[in-house]
Amino acid sequence: MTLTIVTAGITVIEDNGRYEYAHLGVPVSGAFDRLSYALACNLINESNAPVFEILRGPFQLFSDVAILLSAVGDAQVSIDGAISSVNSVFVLESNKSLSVTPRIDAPVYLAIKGLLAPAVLGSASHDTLSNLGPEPLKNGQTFDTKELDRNDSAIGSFIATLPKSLNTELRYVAGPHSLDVAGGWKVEILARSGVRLASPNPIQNASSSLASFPVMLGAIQVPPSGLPVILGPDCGVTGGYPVAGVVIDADLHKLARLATGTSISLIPVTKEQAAQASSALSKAISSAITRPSDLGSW
Amino acid sequence: MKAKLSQYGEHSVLLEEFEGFPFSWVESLEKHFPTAKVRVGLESLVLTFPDYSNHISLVEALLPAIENTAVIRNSKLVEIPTEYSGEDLELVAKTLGLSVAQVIAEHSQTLWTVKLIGFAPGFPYLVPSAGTTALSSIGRLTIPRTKVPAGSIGIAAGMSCVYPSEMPGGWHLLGQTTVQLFDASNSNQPTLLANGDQVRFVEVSK
Repeated sequence: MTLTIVTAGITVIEDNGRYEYAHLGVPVSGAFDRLSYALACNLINESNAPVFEILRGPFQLFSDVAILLSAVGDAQVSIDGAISSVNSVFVLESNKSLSVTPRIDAPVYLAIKGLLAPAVLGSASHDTLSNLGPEPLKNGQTFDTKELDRNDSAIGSFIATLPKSLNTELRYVAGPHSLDVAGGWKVEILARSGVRLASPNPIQNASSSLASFPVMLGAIQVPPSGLPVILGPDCGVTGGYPVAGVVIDADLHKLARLATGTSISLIPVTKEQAAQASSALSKAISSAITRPSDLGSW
Repeated sequence: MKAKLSQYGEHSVLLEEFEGFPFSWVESLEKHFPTAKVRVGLESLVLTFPDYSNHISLVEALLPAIENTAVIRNSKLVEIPTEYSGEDLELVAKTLGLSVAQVIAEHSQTLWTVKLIGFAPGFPYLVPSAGTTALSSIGRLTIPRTKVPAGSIGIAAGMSCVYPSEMPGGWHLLGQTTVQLFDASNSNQPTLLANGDQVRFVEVSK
């Protein structure tokens, strides 16, 4: 019952991340696009599943046993050369290979029911900055996996309506430090540790450095250059630059969908607006998936 | 407790300008805000709540009743065998007008307190338990190193540190230890040190 990575592309293993060790300096890490990740997990009816976060293809795997998978993202997926569909659950029969090629600069999530990935400090997530968790995938690497259950209720599930997402508008709650980052920026560098922004008009009064304080995913740091960095899942647990605001939960997944050169808008919102957006997204996620059992009998 | 409070994202409150070591408040804050996660900075605390209630007024209302227990349970004294062969030893001595031996004596005779584990897994920010040392005026390197070897012991901004693994760093390096500060395979206790622990560097020969 072995799954072999034939072509790794640029792929890491991620799950929800390490939340229990921040007080010991351990970053949270975890899936970069938390929306696509949640959908990939929900499709196969597993929470906090270790999944393949495919950043660049082509990615190909071979399994000697029939397995149940879901793929979420903008990608071409094929089984032994025949095009299959994304945003749904599908079966890879034994001794077949599956190829996944992302179409755009955004990670694609491949969730395999029963995939066994080694956990480090309670999580199978690869942390690119601290180098914790399983290493990025390599060609020829193998994983133990479970054979699918042909009666699994997840079989036949698909995403009927993807939650709407305007990926270049990032809403944030301002503070704790008074620096105005609202407006247009261009993505300069995108990494799991953070997104560096550029602009001909950097923030002017951003020179001070502070005693290190706790930072978090989505925090908009303003270093002395005046060019903000939005922290990603692999960011360190503390930082010494002022933080102008934090991207709201409902927009965090958009960070993973940016690409170098993309123009984005940072839009300040209130905490109440953040709460509304978060509850709207949760509703959209829970109603996104259609299961065969929902369709009833013909 | 008296502190300055600021909204920090949709779930968190930043506490600043309070008395005492930040870590000494953790236990009391966790008791008063059982749903919140409490995180520590060098001069600050962050409370992160799972919900969207009015956290600032919630914290404001309870703050006066919160007392610093200042009891750090299970805090321990850890001795770190140190080979004083750091690349910046002579630079630090020259800057301070001391001999290398005096710098080593000052660093190794100081009792340090772990004020924060942050920056990277298991990275301790150590402050002199007595407040200051003769090394306190040393700042950070103008140009940080892209690679500092694991086990390097540095000083900067009145503090000392030990690099748990190889990483970039801007502290002045005084020495080296073989003690392992972080072990990811030990999920019960991955770090040698915890907030509030006392540390003494003990000179060993090469």
